Amino acid sequence: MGNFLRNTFLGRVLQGDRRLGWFFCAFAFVQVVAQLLTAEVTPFFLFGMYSDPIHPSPTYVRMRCEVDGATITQEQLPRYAGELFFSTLYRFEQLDANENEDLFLPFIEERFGWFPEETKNALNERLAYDPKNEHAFGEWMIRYLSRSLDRPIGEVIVERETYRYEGQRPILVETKELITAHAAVAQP
Amino acid sequence: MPPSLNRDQFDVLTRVFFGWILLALIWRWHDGAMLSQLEAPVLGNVYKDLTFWGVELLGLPAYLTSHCWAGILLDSAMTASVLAMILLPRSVLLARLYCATILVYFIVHTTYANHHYRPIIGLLLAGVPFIFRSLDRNNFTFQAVRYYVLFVYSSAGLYKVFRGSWLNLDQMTGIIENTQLELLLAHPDGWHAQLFTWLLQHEPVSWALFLLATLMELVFLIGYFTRRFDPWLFATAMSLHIGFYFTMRFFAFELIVLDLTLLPWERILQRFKTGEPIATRPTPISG
Repeated sequence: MGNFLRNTFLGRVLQGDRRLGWFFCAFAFVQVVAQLLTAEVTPFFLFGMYSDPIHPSPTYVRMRCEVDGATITQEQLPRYAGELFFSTLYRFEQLDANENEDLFLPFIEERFGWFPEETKNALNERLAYDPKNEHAFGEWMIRYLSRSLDRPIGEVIVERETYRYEGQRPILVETKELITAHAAVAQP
Repeated sequence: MPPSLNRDQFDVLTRVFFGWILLALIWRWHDGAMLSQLEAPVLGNVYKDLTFWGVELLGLPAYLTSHCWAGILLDSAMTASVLAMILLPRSVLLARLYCATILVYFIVHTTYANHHYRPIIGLLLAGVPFIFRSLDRNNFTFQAVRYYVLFVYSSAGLYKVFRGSWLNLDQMTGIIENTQLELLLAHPDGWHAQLFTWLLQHEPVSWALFLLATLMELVFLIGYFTRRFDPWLFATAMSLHIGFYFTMRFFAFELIVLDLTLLPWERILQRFKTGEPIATRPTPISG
């Protein structure tokens, strides 16, 4: 058994470089604990890759972005800019659907319920989205899209569209405007 | 006993890895995804990641993205260190500078990307084997990154088994309906949308593809016991990436650099074994 352990990768590192070996052991241990607790704390990551059971939903949400009267899709933006911009729109939509209540407080209560009440509230305040930033968010959309599309932009309208699938085709069910931003002044 | 690379071989490896990283960074510069190009975003997400919380509480994300000079300094230092590593592959300080800056970039960019985009981890880990002066440590850490790659894929497979999604006939249908809505609306007649529509119509085939991906991920468990099948594991990893693109339109360029640790570098870099010029080496007897 001892011989087997000595011949493992960690065993060999421990024999060749004790400090590095213990570092690897500690890293592997924390990584395993993180997996068991399903706690993702950089640099200890979980790689689920769509491992949670997913079932078709009755409806799906799509963020529609209209720039100066024309719809732009994620594909019309450079890859990473498109991912960043539209992921941000989906987060904005989730906040709107949740009445601007961010999701940190329930998590803080669950994992750090033993913190004093003031600490929990202060932590939540620092981490959560502040609805007062909506105007600044609109201005950022104008700036980021202008850079990504490489042209000046006058107006951006963001809408939440709800779809359901009928015969493998998405059918529009509902549309709701979430935010309108203008180059000079952004209005919710 | 795992193969150990000598200093000359490691120099080539350094250039290959940092060459890949440089391509990834050029792509990000081109796409406006560097911190200095984010135009001072205001809506971020620190997820349930305590490291992100710490960085946010320090005010670093807002500082780096709202002060143009700070963002440019970090982006430039990161890119310059990668370029310099290609030219000076033995510079430990440059490798450390790269790792420090890419870690900050990863946290700040992921905060404002509002999506915990894990493939950037590939760019972070790919630099770690090169931060030590000792060749033994370089080799050990390079092997450790190989084990991390095995962990990435095999844990994804194990999660699918333990969470039961591998038996969920709806799994792939749910993923496609959820993630490909935009494509089905914007380009319903394109080949990719047609493929997704066909997969939605043939649910057992979609599920079989998901099951196949799960099995391919589980295959990486074998790498913990032997290195003999590493080239096959590399081919499996590439097949998964190609499959992810066709079935999810997801291409993790930054993660592929880690897959390179599965290649038989000692054999590939054999000509650098003694450090002799190639012309002076004896001609092998063939046939």
